[in-house]
Amino acid sequence: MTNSQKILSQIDQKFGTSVAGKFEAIRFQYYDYVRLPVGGTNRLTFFSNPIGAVDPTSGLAKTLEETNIRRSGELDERFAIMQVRTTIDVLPIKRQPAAIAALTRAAVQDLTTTHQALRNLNFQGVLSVNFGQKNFIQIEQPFQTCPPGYGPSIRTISGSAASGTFPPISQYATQSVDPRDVYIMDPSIFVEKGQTFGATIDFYMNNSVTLPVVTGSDKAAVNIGVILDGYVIRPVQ
Amino acid sequence: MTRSIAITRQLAKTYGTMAVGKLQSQRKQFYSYVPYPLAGVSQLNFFGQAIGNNGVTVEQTNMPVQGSFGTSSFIVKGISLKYKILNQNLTAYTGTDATTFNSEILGGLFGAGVAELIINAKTYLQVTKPFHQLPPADGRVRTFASGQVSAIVDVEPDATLSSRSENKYICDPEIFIAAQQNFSFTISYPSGLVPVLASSIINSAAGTPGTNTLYVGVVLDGVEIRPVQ
Repeated sequence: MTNSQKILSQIDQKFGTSVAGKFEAIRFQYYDYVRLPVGGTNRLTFFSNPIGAVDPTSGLAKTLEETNIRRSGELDERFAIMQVRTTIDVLPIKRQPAAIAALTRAAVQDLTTTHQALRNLNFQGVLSVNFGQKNFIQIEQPFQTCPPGYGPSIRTISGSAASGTFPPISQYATQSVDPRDVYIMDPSIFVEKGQTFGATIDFYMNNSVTLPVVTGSDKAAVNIGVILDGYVIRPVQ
Repeated sequence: MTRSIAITRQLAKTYGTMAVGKLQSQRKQFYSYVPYPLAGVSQLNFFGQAIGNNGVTVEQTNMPVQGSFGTSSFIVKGISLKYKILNQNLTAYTGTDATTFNSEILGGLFGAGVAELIINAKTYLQVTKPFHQLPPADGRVRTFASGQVSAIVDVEPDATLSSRSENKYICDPEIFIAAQQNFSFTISYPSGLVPVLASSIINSAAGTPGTNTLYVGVVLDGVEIRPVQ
């Protein structure tokens, strides 16, 4: 049975005989970002804390910027997963801990050691996505295998410094920004509305990287995201 | 039902029995730019003003009316978010975030936010970090440089939103917005305001012509369907 037959059959079961004209499919994303513990962790759990719930690491209530799921472990529409992306997001400077936000060269220089640590994170972890009790996605080194496929065009990174004869090295690490590198689900995975699912990134061999001190005792705030890109299938009103 | 059938049906509903010869289609970009305040903002609203409203010119928007395409229908095939600023003042760089626009690209306002396109109370787009996920992909200007400013100051760093055409956000299937139908496109920052970092470069948010206001904008790229006159 092809995947499209499977999707139609599941919709048939839900609505009796499905009438194709009564449904519309739109490109959509379900996403969830969690705060990376600065001291490292052996597991990051996604899609368990919906909008309004508190991220256990940051202690902040999640907003639409961090997730668009409204119930723990459930999607609110039927969804076909076409792409899986993971992201390592250093928060904007003005959202960093106060001492980091106050630095005058945080963006162009002072997060260099953080980026060096996050580069190493790219080689760690296993992404698992389970629906019910069944595993559908298991990917090692997910930050490299499932990159976001978007990001800035960078031509020059400049260090500069207020001390020393020569400026210290400045580095900025990113995952692949090339959309051709995005992990494609083929065949796609169809998720029924209300079906329970969960995603984790596990660090079995060692904990995830420890982030370095940027200034004083403050370490950078970094979010890790999982983005499921695909098609929402919903009734036409 | 294919997408073209769905669009044809909606057109037929609008115009009674649709006579194809009475409509013409053409590639079109509808765009809307708004000033980004220095202190940040909880929500930016696009396409809410038409040409002529409050001094808005065709450099800021080409919307015929507020919040809809007027007598035209529009098929959205791609979405780009962009910025523009009168002077990026490359020679101002002294090694600080404040003195280079680069800091906004790598650690500033473009790394936050969530974009939403809502038509008739239904959400058609909901994307985080939208300036990176929905980049201009338009062949941005490139600058080439060499050397150092001094023994301790490197050359101006240079980064911009993605210029790669393959990064363009494609609406597949495309999104149909009927004539007279109201829609809204917003970028919100519910996790907290993001003030500008490049405060020596972006020196006014008043939106006054001639000042160095940072404008951020949305470009809807697609096919306009309009009645033949």
